[in-house]
Parts: sequence; structure tokens; C-alpha cells
Amino acid sequence: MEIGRGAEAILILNNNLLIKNRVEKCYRLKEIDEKLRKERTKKEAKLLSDAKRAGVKTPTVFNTTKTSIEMEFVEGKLLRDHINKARNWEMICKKIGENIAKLHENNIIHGDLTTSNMILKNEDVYFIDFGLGYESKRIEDKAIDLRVLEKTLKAKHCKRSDEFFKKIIKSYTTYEKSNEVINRLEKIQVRGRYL
Amino acid sequence: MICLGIESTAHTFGIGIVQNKTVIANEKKSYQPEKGGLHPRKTAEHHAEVCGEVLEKAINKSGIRIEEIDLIAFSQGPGLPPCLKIGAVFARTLAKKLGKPLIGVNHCVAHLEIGKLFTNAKDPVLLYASGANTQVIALESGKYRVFGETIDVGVGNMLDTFGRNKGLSFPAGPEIERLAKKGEKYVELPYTVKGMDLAFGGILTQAERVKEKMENVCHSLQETVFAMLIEVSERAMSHTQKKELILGGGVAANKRLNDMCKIMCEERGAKFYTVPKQYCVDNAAMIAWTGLKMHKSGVKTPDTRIIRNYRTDMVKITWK
Ligand SMILES: Nc1ncnc2c1ncn2[C@@H]1O[C@H](COP(=O)(O)OP(=O)(O)O)[C@@H](O)[C@H]1O
Ligand SMILES: [Mg+2]
Repeated sequence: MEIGRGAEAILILNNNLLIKNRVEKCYRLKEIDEKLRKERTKKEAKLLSDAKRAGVKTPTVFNTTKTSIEMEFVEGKLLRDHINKARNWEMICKKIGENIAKLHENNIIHGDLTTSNMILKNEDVYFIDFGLGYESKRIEDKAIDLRVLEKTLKAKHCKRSDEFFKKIIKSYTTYEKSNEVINRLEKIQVRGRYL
Repeated sequence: MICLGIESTAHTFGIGIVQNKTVIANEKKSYQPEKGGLHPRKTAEHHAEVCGEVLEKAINKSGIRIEEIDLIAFSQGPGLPPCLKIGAVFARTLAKKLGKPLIGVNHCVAHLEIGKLFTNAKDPVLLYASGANTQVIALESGKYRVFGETIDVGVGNMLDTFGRNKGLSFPAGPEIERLAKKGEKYVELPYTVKGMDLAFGGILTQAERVKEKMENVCHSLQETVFAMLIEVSERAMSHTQKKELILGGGVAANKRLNDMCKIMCEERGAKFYTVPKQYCVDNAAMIAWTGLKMHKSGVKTPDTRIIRNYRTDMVKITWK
């Protein structure tokens, strides 16, 4: 049964097993398409496991092919649709911040931190969709990771985005180099990009 | 109600006139530098020189008398300050002379509004790809939010820079498109999508460096950067759950980019709308149309100074 469709993938649920299949995109050249799908699938499977080892809740990976991943189905609420009305938003934001702290502690950059890629299950926030992720020690890359989140929060949850982001940043400080990253983030925020 | 709009953010100076829902004039003159590249000061001098003549043409075309105009709109930003200033001064003078209200319009918002006027799109995502700007925007809680954008240069400027350094004619977009059609081989270039954002600098450097037939480089360059644009648009559509896409900006003239938009939308069960070319590129009808909508919903512009970094999400959308 198809349960969802992201920007890149079709998600098929089969007895509590979720298959994420990066489907062919006919708009782009085959060479580009195949390379991206393979690379991202490989990267995603690896980072899902690395992140789990780092203490971040992620679906368990059972199997992978060139362009698909068989993983645990996380039965919960997608934060994109849930966080605006969540009473326990503070707890959720705290968990998000702690998750990012753990990723960055282990030099994992998620690359696509949006509420479309976070699932709330009971009291846990699961991170999914690591296809744009990579490994990096650079402060700049970690700051950009936060910047992506800040921007997508602003775009999609504008009225509350400041509150959300502040809370997230607050618990992100469990990461020992968080100060450096936050300083860099502030620089990125003011960096003008027009003309 | 009749609104006269003035566009002057970059190399185009334009005057458009809109009567209710109809564009009755859309005139413009663009600065064509002898050697490529954008020269803000020279462009502004050009605009100052041609503004009178463009106004006259627009009035003649429209068939109305200048006294019949009810409202003056001008593009307040974002753009090149010297150019913006020419437009703003011209607008203030005209408004004063006619004794009519003056309204400042955000250039990027105007691209989206004119797109909606010429299509049946209700709540679209806009892929706005021009020389200086490259953004994916959509309405969310009363503002047009930027869901993705370039973090270095606009896609059009990148193509032009490539063309200039390779001795192609300016603007290079059409020339690159022509050459790309003859390309057969894909040479690998960096693909730089970061979350919803895009970067073109590294691609430019690499494309200039590869030793390959020009046709093949153009083909690869186009395929790579357009794929990135479409991917970011698709991400925005997925995240906002919107089902319509409009393509705007000067780069929208590219046939291949249009085809890619169409295929992407088909594949995800969404609708793709194209806007007539003269309303895709920088034009003043879009400023007039947006100004009119804003005015009708009660927006006023007490401060008519230019805003060079006028961000799309600074505008509160009080109209439908
Ligand atoms: N392991 C999972 N458990 C439950 N739902 C999931 C899981 N993985 C993905 N989803 C759902 O599918 C959607 C798209 O998946 P995602 O991995 O983000 O793909 P894309 O790369 O296309 O965005 C998610 O937003 C989420 O709703
Ligand atoms: Mg996703």
C-alpha cells in the first residue's frame, strides 16, 4: 500500500515494513537521475544507521537495493502537520535540538532538516530522510544545517517559528561546540545575498 | 480603475498600464551593454534617458489620456539601487503632477501576481528564475515565503557569466540553449542542492574548466542547473502540499526548462502553468497589476524610498 510520496520517493508499506523507493525522475537526464538516486540511497542508508548509533531515533534499516531502502515503519505523526497544534511543542522542540546536537557531535550533517522529515512517536522525535546528508566536521556545514531548519520553519510555521527555533537552539547547546556553530549561524543570517 | 506601473529594478525600464483586469499597455526599453556584464550606473543613465519616451509610447498604446490614470505603482525593490532610484523619482514626479496616490510594489511578488492573472492557478508555487533572482516562493500564512533560493548568484547571471567568459553573445541564455540542443554528451558537473537552497558558483567554475565541445558543455550545464531548479521546486510543492506550479523570470523563455517543469508536474499529478513571455521577463504590467490589487485591498506606501534588499516575505499579502 502506498502511504506517501515525498519530493523524491514513493513510500510503500508492507506489513510494518516500509519501502522507500527513489523513483525515476523523467525530467532530468538519465545520467544525472541515476547517479543522484543511487548516491542518495546509499548515503541515506548509511546515515540512518550512523545516526542511530549516535543516539538519534531513526527507523531501523533492514535492507537496501540500488535505489530503495527497506526500513522500520515509524507509526507516528509527521511534525509538519502536527507541531502547530501540539500542546507539548516545548518537549518536541527540545527533542529536535538534542537530536541535532547528537548528529553534529558525530559530524553528521542531515542536509534537509524540515518538519516533513521528523516524526513524533509517543515521546520521541524520529529523524528520517537523510538523502541530502553527509559527514563533515566543519562548523560552517553545521551552521548551514541549522539555517536550513530555521528557514523552513519560517516558511511553513511562520507564526510560531521564532519560538520553535529558540527552543530548539536552547537544547542544541548540549553539543559541546554549539557556541561556535551558533556564532557562525548568526553570521550567515546577516550575510546579504542580494546583488 | 486604471493603474500605471513603473519597472526599473535592473536592465529593463518599463511602463505598463492596467485597467481593471486588462493590460492596456506594456512598454519597455532594455539596456544592452556593448560588452557583457551589468553596469548599474550606466544602466541607470539609460533609464533616465528613455523614461519619457517609454511613457509616451505606453500612453499612446493604451488609448487613454494620462489624466485618466487613478494610481501610480513602482517597483520598490529588490534591485540595483541606481536603477531603482530612477524609477522611484519618476514615479513620485508623475504622482505629484497628476495628484494621484503612489504605491510601492515588491518586484518578486509582482512576478507571482501577474502569473496568477494570466493562468488559472489559484495557489501556486512559483519558480522564479531570472538574471539576478532565483527563488521558489509560495503563499503561507499571509505572506509569500521563500522556500528555496540561490545562496550565491542568480541562475541567469551565472549563464551570462559563463557565456561572457566563453565569448558567446550577450545575453547568453538563448545562445546556450541553441548550442545545448546540439549537445550529445553529458559531462559531469557538480550538483549543488542544499536542503531547499541552490548554489551555482562551483558549477560555473567547473563548466568553464572542462575541455569538451562547447555544445556538450552547454548541454551539460543546462541539464544540471535546470534539474536543480526543478528539484527544489518539487521539494517546495511536496512540503507545502501545493499542486500548481508557475514558471516566471527571464530564464522561463527556455524551452527545455519549460518541458522539465511540465514533466515534473505530470509525474506528481500537479498542474503546470506557463505565462506569456512578455510577462515572464521583467515588465511593468506586473507592477501596475500588483499595485492595483494592493491599492484595492487598502495598502498604502507612506515611505516611498527604495528597498534594495526587499525580501519577498516582507510583504503582507492582504489581497486574494
Ligand atoms: N520510516 C518511516 N515511517 C513512517 N513514515 C515515513 C517513514 N519514512 C518516510 N515516511 C513518510 O513518507 C514521507 C516521505 O519520506 P521521505 O523519506 O522524507 O522521502 P522524500 O525524500 O521523498 O522526502 C515522509 O514525510 C513521511 O511522512
Ligand atoms: Mg522528506
